Amino acid sequence: MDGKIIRNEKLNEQYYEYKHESGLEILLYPMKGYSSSYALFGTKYGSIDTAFKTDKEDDFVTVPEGIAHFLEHKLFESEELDAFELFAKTGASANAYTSFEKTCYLFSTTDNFGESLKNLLDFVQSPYFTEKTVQKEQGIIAQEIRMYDDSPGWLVFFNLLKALYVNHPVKVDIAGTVESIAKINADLLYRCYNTFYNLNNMVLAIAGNFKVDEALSVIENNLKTKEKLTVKAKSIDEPDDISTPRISAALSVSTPLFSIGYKEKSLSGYDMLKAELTYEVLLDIMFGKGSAFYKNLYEKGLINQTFDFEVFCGRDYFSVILDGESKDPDKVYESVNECIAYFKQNGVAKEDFVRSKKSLYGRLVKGFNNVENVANNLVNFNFWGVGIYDNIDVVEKMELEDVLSLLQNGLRKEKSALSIVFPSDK
Amino acid sequence: MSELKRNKLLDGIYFNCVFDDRFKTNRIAVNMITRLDKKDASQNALLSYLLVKGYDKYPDFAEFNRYLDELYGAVVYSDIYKAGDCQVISLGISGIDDRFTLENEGITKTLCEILSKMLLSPALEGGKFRESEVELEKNTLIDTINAQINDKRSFALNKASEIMCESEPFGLNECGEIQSVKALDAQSVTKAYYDLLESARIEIMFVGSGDCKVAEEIFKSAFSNVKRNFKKETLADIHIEKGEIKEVTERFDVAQSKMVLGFACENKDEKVDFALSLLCAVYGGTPMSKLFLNVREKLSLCYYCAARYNKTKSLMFVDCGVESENILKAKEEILRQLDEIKNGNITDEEIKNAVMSLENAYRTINDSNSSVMRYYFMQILSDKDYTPEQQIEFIKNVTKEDIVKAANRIKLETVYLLTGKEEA
Repeated sequence: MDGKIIRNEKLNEQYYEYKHESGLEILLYPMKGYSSSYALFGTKYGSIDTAFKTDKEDDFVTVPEGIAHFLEHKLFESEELDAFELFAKTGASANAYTSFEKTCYLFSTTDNFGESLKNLLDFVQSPYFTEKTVQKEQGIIAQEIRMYDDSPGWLVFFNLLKALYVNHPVKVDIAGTVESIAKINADLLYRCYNTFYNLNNMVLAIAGNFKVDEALSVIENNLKTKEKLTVKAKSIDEPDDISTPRISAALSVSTPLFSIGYKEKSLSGYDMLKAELTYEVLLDIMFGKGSAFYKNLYEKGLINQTFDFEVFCGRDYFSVILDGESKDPDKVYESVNECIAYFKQNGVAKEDFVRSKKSLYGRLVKGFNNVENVANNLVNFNFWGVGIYDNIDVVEKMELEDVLSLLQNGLRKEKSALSIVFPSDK
Repeated sequence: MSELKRNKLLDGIYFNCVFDDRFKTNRIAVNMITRLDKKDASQNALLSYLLVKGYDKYPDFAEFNRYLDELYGAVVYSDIYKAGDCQVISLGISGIDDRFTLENEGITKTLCEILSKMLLSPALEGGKFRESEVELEKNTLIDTINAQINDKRSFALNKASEIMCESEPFGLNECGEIQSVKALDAQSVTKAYYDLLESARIEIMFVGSGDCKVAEEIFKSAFSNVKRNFKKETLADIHIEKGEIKEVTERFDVAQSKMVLGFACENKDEKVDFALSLLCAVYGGTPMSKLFLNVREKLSLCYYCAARYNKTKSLMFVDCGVESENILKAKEEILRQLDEIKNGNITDEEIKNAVMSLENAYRTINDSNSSVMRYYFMQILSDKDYTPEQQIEFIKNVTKEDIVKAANRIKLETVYLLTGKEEA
């Protein structure tokens, strides 16, 4: 396999990038002195992939909500030894997760790296589903869904996505619903597996304590190369407009929770990364702990230390979200809009920009501190079509004009929504 | 793993350093340890909220945060938690190491100075904390205590400890009670502040790639004028066993019920502690544990069903989220699996798997500065100085007989159930 070295001088670190003939992308990031290694085997397949086909098929298929997550659970089982049994023999700690855009299988280990890596490659490439095992999993996942049903943070967030997005499947709960997962059967699981778990749609990232040569030899010997497939997602017809400006629900909580969202233009690749980081600087200037907004609302008792904001973006979606607890969420929403209007009119001071940029740079450097973070970022950035050091590059090149341009064109009140979870016990 | 260096600064005040140049950040914390007490808990909690907001030179929170942003987004934090029968009031700062600043400017020394000033030079007015700040942070603290209900899993676990240890400090809320928060004012909080500085055990921790010597000097000189009257407290008293099972059910507007079983492990022996840690891993600590394989995989009753061991109090808790009609079924199976261990029905493979899983967990501690800090702090608190490797050796020496023996002393004491409202 031909590889290339990707280096960052400031961090004085580097990693290796390989492309296997099957199409699998391999990213190897050895970290000197660390005890553990962390490996992720991921497919570009998440909860938003509900309608798709391969380049070899004619028609799109639509599958039940929550199936990517269901498949993640089921891959741990096999005809012989289950994945957990395999990893128990090496002492590695194994797990998996499904998000909007990807499903990742992982292990973390301090010993027996080679054997653990072989186990990871093995079980993800060996699907085994029967109607009986599917049925058993429906009970377990139903309890996972019910657990999230009681989580106010989860509810306020997904309700916001429902308010912002009309058609995009990002608004649907990653695990689906108890009703939707009841429609899942072994055939459907195989169909999804055979589409998305093609190595051409996958990435393998390893960070921490391991030898590159050993990893490459285990990988070469354990990949089951099949005919290359390219997945086509059915295009999502998402309007620029939001679905509804206000949505509320009730749950057993003490203080109301709120989530405020602005629907922005979706982007991809380096442009998306650049917009994400530029919004982070802008949000920090307007709403960060050093801002007049934060001080003012905190002192009025309208927000508390749970107040936070994030940029939420991915394939065909991009939004800016502010959330927290408040006795008067509507008032917070109004204040956020007033603050944005003020900045739209008055712009951003150069010194504020420089300071927030410096702070963001520091946070990005911290991201290279631990093995787990590095491995996860390798996968995230790869799926976005950028490199792991591109974020530092973006920050270094960021200009005040970039921030001002987002401020002028984005954060539109008419494209915003407020989601609230009120206390139900009172 | 890098070793811990520990130096005494004053009576009951120590500076602890783990130098490790793999990390790109430095993490520094001042931990004040005091006996958890119903009267003092809320005022100490409130202090941590006040101290993290700035210091005399930066009395304005927004200005303080802009200053931290200039230092490459350095982060200050405060934390309040329980360790055994003690309350830990922790104040910390973390930031990138000097090697990574854009113009190679040094910031680590400044971070140490900021932290020492946050603790020792708070923003006072007329010798007291500002009334307006006290009122504001009282509300924040009340919000935090009220919001504990939002996370039903941790709420249920805390509730079970409270019921199980109703007459012990461990059973108290680490943030205190809302009523006592309401009663606080600038005067009482200021007095609490000086009391804490005078009498608390103080452990300063530094983990990272910065210069420990410089950091130590800063804290040494900062503390040189602090008046001390220190008496060392024990970390935890032995749990008072009830000799009966107490069952409590509370109803909330929830979809899923949470059940917590609390067990007393009747242990005063360090060797048995390792047996209990391993027992917990075999019973419900890994995806190969008896609870995971039976309650979840075989009966598909739960998504999570796990056991954890609290070493300081020698208590074990099993918790799960379950459909209300399956509560009894889950409880029976959880207890049946414990009986299996009591009867010696454990395979060598189960033990080997659990040992390897703990080995992996201990060795991974090394790889993050927050886990290194937490690990050594807990060692210091328990008056021990084991490295993770030494702990692994102790675990490896545990035999099946040790596990069975330890299991037979375990008694169910508490069943806490958080469940939905009955249909009208």
